[in-house]
Amino acid sequence: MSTLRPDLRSRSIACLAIPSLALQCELVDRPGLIGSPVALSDEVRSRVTEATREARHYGVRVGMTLRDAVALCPMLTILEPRPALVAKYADGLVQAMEAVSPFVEEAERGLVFADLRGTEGLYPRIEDLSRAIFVGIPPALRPQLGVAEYRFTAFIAALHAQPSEVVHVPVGDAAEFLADAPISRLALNTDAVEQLHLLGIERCGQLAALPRHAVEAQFGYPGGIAWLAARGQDTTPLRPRPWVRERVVEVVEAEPPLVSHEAILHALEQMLGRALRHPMARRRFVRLLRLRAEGERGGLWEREQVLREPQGDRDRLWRLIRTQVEYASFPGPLTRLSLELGALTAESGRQHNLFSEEQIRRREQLDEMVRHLKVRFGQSPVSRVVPVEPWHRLPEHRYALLEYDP
Amino acid sequence: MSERHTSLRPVGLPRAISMRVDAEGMPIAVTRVAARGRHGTETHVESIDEIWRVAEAWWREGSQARTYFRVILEGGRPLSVYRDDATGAWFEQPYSEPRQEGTAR
Repeated sequence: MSTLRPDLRSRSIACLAIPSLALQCELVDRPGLIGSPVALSDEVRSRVTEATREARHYGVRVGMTLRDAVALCPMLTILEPRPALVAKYADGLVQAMEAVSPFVEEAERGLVFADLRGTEGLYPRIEDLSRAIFVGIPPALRPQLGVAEYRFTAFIAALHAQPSEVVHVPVGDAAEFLADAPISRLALNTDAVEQLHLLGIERCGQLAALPRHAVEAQFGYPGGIAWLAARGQDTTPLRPRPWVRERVVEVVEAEPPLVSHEAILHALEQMLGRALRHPMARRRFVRLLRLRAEGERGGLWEREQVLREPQGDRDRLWRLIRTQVEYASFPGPLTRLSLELGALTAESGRQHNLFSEEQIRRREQLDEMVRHLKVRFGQSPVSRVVPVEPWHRLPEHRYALLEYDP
Repeated sequence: MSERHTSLRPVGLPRAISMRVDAEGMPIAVTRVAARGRHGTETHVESIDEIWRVAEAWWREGSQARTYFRVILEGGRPLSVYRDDATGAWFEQPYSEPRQEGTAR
């Protein structure tokens, strides 16, 4: 149980949410479309994935085919998704949260959490905090901010907030505030949500009214977490992304765009060299590689590789990058390449095998010889000393010989 | 199904010796058994460095009680020997302090 004052506890977590990020990004990029019916299609231009309020007014719904949507709203503007644009603005949201807290988690694109504990001195009032966050975000993105003691409460608060406004939930009010929230917002799988719907449980308040053991018996550990969340008591911690000082990012803007794999590889090889020469990466090892390529038409290709063991060797890192790129299917000519060396280790030392190759080779020879002698004499002539009771006062009880059997 | 048997053979088993002792039972000269069971030559004890007693599980029947001597033989060679307090027989056995229980070697 936290010993913080209730007013400070109630501002432990901030959640920044933009419910239709991809569509909002397009509207920021094309302000002339604001206020008109606009829909975003999927990548194969078959169905509606997001729609503005104006489009919904005409009956356009998510999941509808584009043909049906246009039939309902002839003046509908249909846009293709541009993941690179979304990624750019999503990074901006993370940076806006990092302006107020070093511990920031990007749960998904357009949903960012920040741990606010310890920032009360910097931002005594919630308004100061929200101003500091919103200043880094284009208002046309319509960012919504929620502040509460725990992350689920902060998330629901953000969804309740008006664009560019904040909803703050005091500690004692969380359960009441969450009571009307739909259970589909909880971290439960769709089967569990459907099962709850069949039981007539639609809202968090109904779930919270059930005994915890009954929910856990039905849905296991996630059910218990969801039950706590529904009561405003979910203590699931943030998983902050590596601190900015723990990564080095190299970016290349390509003009003219890169088309061939050879050109992309050449650019990346130079970027890797530059990244490894960066003072922050010097004498440190890399645990995470992240590659991002943005296409001419807004397409995005991303790969993230967590290395099994940290690498500091340029050739090994290059081999990993080259493998990723050689089998990549890029979204057309590339205008921007980004290489991130992340989760840099504090130490650059490597634990080598205690046994050198020569020792291993000799051990194998010994094993072979012992096997040979065993066949010849029927038993192994070599024994290993094993501790039996090393603390025994009579010496003959302390250690024994055990037949060495390779 | 095949069964594998392995046996443990104790390390540091005591070896029987002949000991000549004085009136107080203190060692004067030791004769060690040489190869192939032949008696070796007698070697005089120059000095006795240390005497200590080990009584193992004395509360049990068949417990062992030994009196150890660390002696210096003529010529300066050290040797650890003990007398079995139950039988009076003498043995030689290297002795070091046992490791504390639970500590790493």
